[in-house]
Amino acid sequence: MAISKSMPILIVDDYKTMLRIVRGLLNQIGFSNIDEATDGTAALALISQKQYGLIISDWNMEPMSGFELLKKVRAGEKTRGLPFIMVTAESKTENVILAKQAGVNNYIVKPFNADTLKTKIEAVFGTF
Amino acid sequence: MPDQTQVMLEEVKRMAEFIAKARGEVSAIMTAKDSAGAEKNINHIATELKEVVRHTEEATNTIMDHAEALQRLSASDPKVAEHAMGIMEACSFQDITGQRVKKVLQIVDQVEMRIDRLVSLLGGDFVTSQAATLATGTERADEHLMAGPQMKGGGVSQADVDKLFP
Repeated sequence: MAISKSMPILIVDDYKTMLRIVRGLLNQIGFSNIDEATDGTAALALISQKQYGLIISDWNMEPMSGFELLKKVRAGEKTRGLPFIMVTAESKTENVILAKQAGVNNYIVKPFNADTLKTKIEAVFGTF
Repeated sequence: MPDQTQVMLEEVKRMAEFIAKARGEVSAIMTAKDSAGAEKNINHIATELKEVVRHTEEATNTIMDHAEALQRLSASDPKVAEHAMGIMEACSFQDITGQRVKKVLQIVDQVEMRIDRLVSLLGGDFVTSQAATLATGTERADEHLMAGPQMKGGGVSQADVDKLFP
């Protein structure tokens, strides 16, 4: 998968503070084309309007969780190949396995730093 | 041998005293106030915890405002930008603590509902319960998977997760 620093990235989290942190970390890594959504439903609405290069999503959100969002993205004809990284405090092994089975590309346990985020994006797209 | 009626009367009296004491204790849990008259009961726990979340969120945003301002001023010194980013990364504590408080709130809701049921069983006319207004939110399909942040050493580490994504 090729990566471009200008590719649109969608970050999804119900905590505005976390959206701000992830945006800041992405800026530091070099990405600036970033949109935000506060749950899976809002994210799906944005995904239907715009072609994103990467989704970075929290798991525990209401009404639609990141896990449900992942399953809907993987079920969509146009979106099933969309790179998806889960960023969550849910660190039970069974959750990681379920997310992997549902097709997540990588999984980051909160709290994390810019290096971890960069490493996981590189694991999906290759070194940049 | 004591009179059977007398024994039954003694038992009924003891039960009446027990119920009266239970009503008093439940009422204290539901309506207690401190010496200044401020709420200090189970109904107030949820309000206090929500205030904790609100205050930490406000404080976190203020810290992040300053960290972002430092980043903007750090063009000539990348070390300053690096430290400003470190401050922002550390601010993710607000998300973790917020999720932990949410878990505690769900437990408080459950306790309140059980006390409310107990109040009904004991007559229900001796205390004004707010528990019914504090029901938990809607259940999601994956609600049973949600454990929130794990205790130290309780969940998998990022290194463990990485082994699953070779």
